[in-house]
Amino acid sequence: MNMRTHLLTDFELMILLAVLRVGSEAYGVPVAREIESTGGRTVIVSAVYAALDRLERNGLVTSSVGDPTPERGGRAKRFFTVTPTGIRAIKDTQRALTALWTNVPQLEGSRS
Amino acid sequence: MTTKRPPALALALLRRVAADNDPLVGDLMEEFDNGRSASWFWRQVLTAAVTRPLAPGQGRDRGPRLAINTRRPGESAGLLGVPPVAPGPKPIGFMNISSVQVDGIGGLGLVVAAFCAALEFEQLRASMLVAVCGGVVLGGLMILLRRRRGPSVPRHNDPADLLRAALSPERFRTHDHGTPGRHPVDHPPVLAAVS
Repeated sequence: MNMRTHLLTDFELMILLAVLRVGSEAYGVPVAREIESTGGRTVIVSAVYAALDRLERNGLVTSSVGDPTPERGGRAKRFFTVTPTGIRAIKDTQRALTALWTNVPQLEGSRS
Repeated sequence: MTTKRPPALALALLRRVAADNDPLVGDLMEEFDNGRSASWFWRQVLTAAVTRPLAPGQGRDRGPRLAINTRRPGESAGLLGVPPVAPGPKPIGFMNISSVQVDGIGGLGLVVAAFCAALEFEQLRASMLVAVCGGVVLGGLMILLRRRRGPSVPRHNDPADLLRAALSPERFRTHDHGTPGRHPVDHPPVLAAVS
């Protein structure tokens, strides 16, 4: 029996990859910055949190609350970690996208 | 070390809309402290205010209005208090689509916030003017449509309709058999309610 694959939207995929790239310090600000600098798109921080909440409900990330800091007005950071299910979802999405990418004459030779 | 203070009004609005999301408030304050502009802060806050209540399971429950059931067919037994036989995927539940609801602010609060933002930022004034003109035109159209439709029949279970009917009976028809969902009335509306 085939295991159900979880395909991610482009924004979810970017967020999961950004969380992985940032590492242990992955909270809202660095994740948003990573998407902006690497992904080249402007990010609304509340949209990042909304997507991360959805990913957490689906078991693709987990979160933990850190210590409050003065520059944040005494508010705590919420750190995110990608779960093994999340890693599998990233790989499933990559596989699906790669499969769609192949044998499309218009796209041949366009990859640098 | 001194920290830069974000625009007070935007911060107050953010504290209202993200009252249960301290990390988001902290993140935006940290980013502002790191050199982001006031317009960036306003954009983040207003977007958070508008988009946050659309997420299912968030926001204050203000009772049913127009709602769509996003449960799967097999999960409908849960609505009657009987748990589904097999634990399926987590149901999303009901999502209100009748209006944009913002926790602790409401539609009028959003209008005031947009007006204040337009006062602060010149580039928003044209958009605000277009929105106001559009609202006035839409309101006028709704009034015209309501007048053309004529008087309606009071709903028996609606105290506001019954009060209106008692105060100005000429506004209501006494016979209406063709409108679905409305009750035909052969006698004065208030009497119809008690009979």
